Amino acid sequence: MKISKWKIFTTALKFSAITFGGGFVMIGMMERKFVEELELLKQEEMMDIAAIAQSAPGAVAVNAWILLGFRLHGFAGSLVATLGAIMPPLFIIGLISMVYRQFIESQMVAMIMKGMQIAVAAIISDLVINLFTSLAKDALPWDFLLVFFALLLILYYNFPIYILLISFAALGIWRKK
Amino acid sequence: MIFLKLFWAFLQIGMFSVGGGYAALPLIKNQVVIKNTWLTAKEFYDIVTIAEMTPGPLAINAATFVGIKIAGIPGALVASFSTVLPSMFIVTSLALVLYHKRGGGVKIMEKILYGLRPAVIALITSAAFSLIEVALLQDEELNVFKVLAFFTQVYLLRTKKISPMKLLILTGAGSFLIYLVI
Repeated sequence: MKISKWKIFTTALKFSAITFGGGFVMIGMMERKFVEELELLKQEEMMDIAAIAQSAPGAVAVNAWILLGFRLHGFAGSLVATLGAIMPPLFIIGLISMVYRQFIESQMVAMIMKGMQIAVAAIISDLVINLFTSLAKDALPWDFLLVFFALLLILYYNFPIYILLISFAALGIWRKK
Repeated sequence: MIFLKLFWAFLQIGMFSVGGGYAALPLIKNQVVIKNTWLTAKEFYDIVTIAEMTPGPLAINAATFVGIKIAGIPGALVASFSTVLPSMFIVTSLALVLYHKRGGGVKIMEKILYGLRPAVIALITSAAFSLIEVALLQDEELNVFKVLAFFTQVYLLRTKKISPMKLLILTGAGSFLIYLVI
């Protein structure tokens, strides 16, 4: 199945207009759309995109769109995806900058945001459940251990993420012949 | 010249903000509050609040805000595009290696990505924990209604296959209705 550049652009535009909570929520939205619904990508590929987007400089969500666009439609795909990803924040902040005091203090905005935070939490939880289900299906016990080890380092030891990524990259070079 | 200054400041932000989001905060502050006095410290923290309340990455939101304030809409465009420019170069080069197998780095890149997979799953899981915490545990006591809403939504996503996009719009609209009623 193939996807048009226009579709990449509009999907990036729609997702960016409504997704907040950070880059990994965007990864969750992408996984749903491109892996599960359209079946254009394997879940492993989505994880590779997440890994590169997190390790490269710049915003994770924008990086992820650049990669996804490239994977689906080469240079032109990455260009339309980037445009689609940055236009909504440009537009929204442009509007809000005129009335930003009122915006921050608005009870209505606060209420809508509190509600949407729940949806954001649900979307990323869904991704986590998917990841652990496929991990349980085809991963070796080693992979499980590594995930929990990394999680322990992040959650309980506030381990610097950069050192974590570098050591796991090195481990990958050593583990995979 | 102001556009050149904006371009240079946000190019550096895009270039050196590694790790995304809050990791980039000090870098952005340094450029827009300290080096260039485009924003006061208070305005800067206002942007952080706005960025939390709106879609879009922090760096892009800050770029748009500063750009508009300093040089109107052209300023916002210049600042935002300079923020993504480094990403576009670096990430596209990596994509070339990975997807078109250009250059000698393919094998090593595949190994690195293989190694990073467990770390990325752990990072996403920890992001999920903190987003759940923000959504459900911010009030002093656990709000049963919110917890119920959360589990219903996970259920809808998993069994009814409702699209995340629809879910976000519906929850936003629902919260707006609750605001009107209360």
